[in-house]
Amino acid sequence: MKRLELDFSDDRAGRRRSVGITALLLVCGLFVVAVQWHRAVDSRSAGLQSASEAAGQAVLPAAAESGQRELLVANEAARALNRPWGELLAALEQAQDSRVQLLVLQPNPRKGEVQLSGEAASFAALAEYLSRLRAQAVLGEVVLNSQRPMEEDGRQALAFTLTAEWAEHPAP
Amino acid sequence: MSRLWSSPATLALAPEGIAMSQGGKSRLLMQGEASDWKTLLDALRDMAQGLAIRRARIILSAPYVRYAVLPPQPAVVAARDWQALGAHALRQLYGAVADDWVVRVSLQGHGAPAVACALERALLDELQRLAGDMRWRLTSIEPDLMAVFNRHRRQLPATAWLLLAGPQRLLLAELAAGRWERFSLAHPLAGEEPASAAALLERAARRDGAHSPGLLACFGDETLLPVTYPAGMSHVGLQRAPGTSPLQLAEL
Repeated sequence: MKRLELDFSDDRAGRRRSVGITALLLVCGLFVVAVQWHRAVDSRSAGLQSASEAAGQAVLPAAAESGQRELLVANEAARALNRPWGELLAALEQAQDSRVQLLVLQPNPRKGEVQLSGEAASFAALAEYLSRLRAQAVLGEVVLNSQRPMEEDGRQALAFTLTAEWAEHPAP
Repeated sequence: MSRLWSSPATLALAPEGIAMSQGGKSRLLMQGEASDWKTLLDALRDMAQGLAIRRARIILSAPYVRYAVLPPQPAVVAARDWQALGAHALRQLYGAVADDWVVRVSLQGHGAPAVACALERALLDELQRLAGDMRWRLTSIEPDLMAVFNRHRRQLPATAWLLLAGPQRLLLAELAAGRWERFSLAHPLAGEEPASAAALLERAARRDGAHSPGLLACFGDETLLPVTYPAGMSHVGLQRAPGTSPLQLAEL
């Protein structure tokens, strides 16, 4: 039940003092709580930091290794994308003629080379094709890897494979 | 300099004398019939120098205070308005003499009855003058009902009657559902207090609309309390405790 308040003293100064003391105690209490909380947070963050440092020593090499792998893959992709694909295709188209049929194109950007397989109507046609390829700025040295005669639909032809250097920065 | 955490000295003033409690020790400062409060305060002033009091809590016995229950007034909110209602209710009960009284009102909650209590202005002025002269700080001047009730309120059920019995004075306070319902006073002749108390209880029990209390709590000497209780209150719990003599009041 509620207290019965029938005080005739009119002790305003005392009440003010009580309120003041209560407020002061409250502020002190809040200060102590804040200091304790701050200390707890500091201690926790220090603990986390040391744990993180301890774990970091073990984790970092693996992370670095993994990152390096990813970096290599990314570099590879970037390098592949940086290759002058447009110039390569234009050069191959330019070197083409009716006596040579290009069947397989295997670019290898990592090695900076491109392998070509196809058929030529004659050895002279193949030799001219090689000459035209070597004349392209985007291609460096062009090597004939293999050639063998073949017959197709009653016609004599030469099957060939060759490798050409694929320049990263074609000379102007 | 007074210590902030020390308890004030409690001085209880009753027609039977003056008692003081300080530092856990109680003693009677004056014993004997005082015809009015002026005699009492003169005696207190004479001995005040030797009391070593810095802060004082004064408890006044029932003969020096008057009570009234103010009916609920949901539209009245301001404390000043309640104060005016209390003064008006006491004037209606006691007449023009109430114009010289100081009134305090204890609100019990919105929509609940309030308790008004009055004290002679001259008595209050004299107490404050004495305190000023003695350099006492008065922390509280309270009626005995406030001291008794606040001490025991946690042990009381929500519906209970409190009987404060002193020599030639009886006060019956009725609580219903935690709200003050009614105060009844009686001023029996010396030696007739038990019979008068029984009659007071009988009248209260037969009053229309009276709530049957869960407990009758009697405060006072055994010789002042009723020997028999109304038949209708046979099922009511009974509790007896000291609390109206100067020494008992000082220990509250």
